[in-house]
Amino acid sequence: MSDDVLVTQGLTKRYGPATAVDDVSIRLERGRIYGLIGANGAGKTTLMRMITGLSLPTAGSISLFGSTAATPRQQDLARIGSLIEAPALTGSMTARQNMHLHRLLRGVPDASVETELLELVGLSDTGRKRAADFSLGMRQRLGIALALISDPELLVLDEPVNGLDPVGVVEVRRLIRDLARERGITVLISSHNLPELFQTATDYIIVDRGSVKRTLTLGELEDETQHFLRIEARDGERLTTVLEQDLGTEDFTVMPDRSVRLRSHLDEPEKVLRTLVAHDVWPTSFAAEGETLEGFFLSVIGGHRS
Amino acid sequence: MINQLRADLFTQRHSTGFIVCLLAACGAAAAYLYLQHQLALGGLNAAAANGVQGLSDVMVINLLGSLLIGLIVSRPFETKSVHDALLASSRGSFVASKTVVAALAVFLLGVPYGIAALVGRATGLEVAPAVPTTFALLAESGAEPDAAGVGRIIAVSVVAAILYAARLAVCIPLAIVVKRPIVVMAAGFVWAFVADLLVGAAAKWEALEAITRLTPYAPDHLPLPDSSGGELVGTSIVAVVFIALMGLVAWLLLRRADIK
Repeated sequence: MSDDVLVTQGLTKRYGPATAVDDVSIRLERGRIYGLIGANGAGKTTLMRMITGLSLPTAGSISLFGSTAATPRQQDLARIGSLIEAPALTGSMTARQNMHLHRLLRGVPDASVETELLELVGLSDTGRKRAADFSLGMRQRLGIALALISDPELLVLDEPVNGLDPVGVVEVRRLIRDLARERGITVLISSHNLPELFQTATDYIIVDRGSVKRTLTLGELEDETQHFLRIEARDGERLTTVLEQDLGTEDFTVMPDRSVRLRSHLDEPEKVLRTLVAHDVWPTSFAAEGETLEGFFLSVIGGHRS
Repeated sequence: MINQLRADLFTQRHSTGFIVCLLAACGAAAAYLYLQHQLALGGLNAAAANGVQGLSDVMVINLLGSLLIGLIVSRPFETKSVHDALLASSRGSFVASKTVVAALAVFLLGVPYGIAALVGRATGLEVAPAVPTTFALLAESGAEPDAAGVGRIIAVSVVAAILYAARLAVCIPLAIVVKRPIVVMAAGFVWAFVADLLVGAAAKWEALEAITRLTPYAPDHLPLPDSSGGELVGTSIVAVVFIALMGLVAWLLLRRADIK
């Protein structure tokens, strides 16, 4: 069985002369958490709306769960849970009544799922309190519980931590990671905040002005944003020998241009330099380098957004 | 479709708006019967008599009915519950369920007036209709009804309530487009009266009159206490077909629409 949960090909959405999503081709695999990152207006929500069938593409195709249909079929859409823009709560109902309503809507026969999910998101003790009186964090968590009611295989979350306090952010982040790890759910989560997603996602899709600018894994992102000491010396072989034998580190990489990226001793560059000079290795270049997450994001989208 | 329908009925059971509207209709129907009785006894002056019209079924059902249709059809777009609804079932099922529940809600607003008419007749209460609507005419006069008379009152009341639902069914596609209950209420309320004026004007042309006879706005379809069974069935068919037609229009509007 294919591990592809979602494949889009040349997905495009135009509103008159404006192009909101332009030729987006992405592939989402089972059990991974994909961070969809872009500035406001980059096309994240439009892309999510097309994936969930709320908006029809102008061009391109969406294949869900290995289906060969060009547009999502109803039985495939039913395998998705979503929270787009705002939690789908009925304010006059309690948390449990909201759960019951969405269970009816999804045709889920097992009533115990209501209790199970309310416990999962920490809302099992809200009693008769109406959803309209919930805090923002409680509303978001209930929204996630509602999205999970049909045991979805793909969870689409549009900025789920927007407006949450730090505790709420940590709770939602932990919940999403647990869902992917324990239930094998694929999560597509959007944000304009790369540092926030850095702690949640396993893969990243960076979009800007409707286009995918880059896709990368967490490991690749870590490589891109890691800080290091960049050292060049005429005798490269001697340089690496001193690093290994005298500085006692193997945490470095020799780059194709023969420079060395040293990822240890970032807080003690003087010690590194002293050790090299003491062993007759005279650097021709010695500098602390590396991107911040924001810097990397800006470099990917071309730096035209501040 | 069934899941959607069950969810919509559950929503209405817990909807403050729905419960308040239904209670308001019950209160208005009871008050209307009492005030019509006072009118008959001459206990109200002319100014107060005009005020009684505000509690008549034609005012209350058109106002609260269009509001309820707005709440039932538009609210899911406001709360975003439409997102989950459209993942769970098709747009056709969504519209079909909303059409059924909206029509049922307006129908239920007519029930208190039917009960009031039945109570008025059963107790021999003398009433003077403030507005000559079906329910008021049913309550107006006549001997205390026997079993067949009760059956007739119930049948005419049911058809009148279905007719109200049909007359307000234009609010269903409107609610899909504007997605604001308060706008639907205002437009529906105004439309209920404008439609009668338009139908009256159309009566000057034979072809137009023939067309309006196919709609629930034709005066011929107003159920009366002495309407025949055939007339009541004919009115019911026109009403139900018109409701279905409005549901179809709503589906056509939603079928390829972008959902925010």
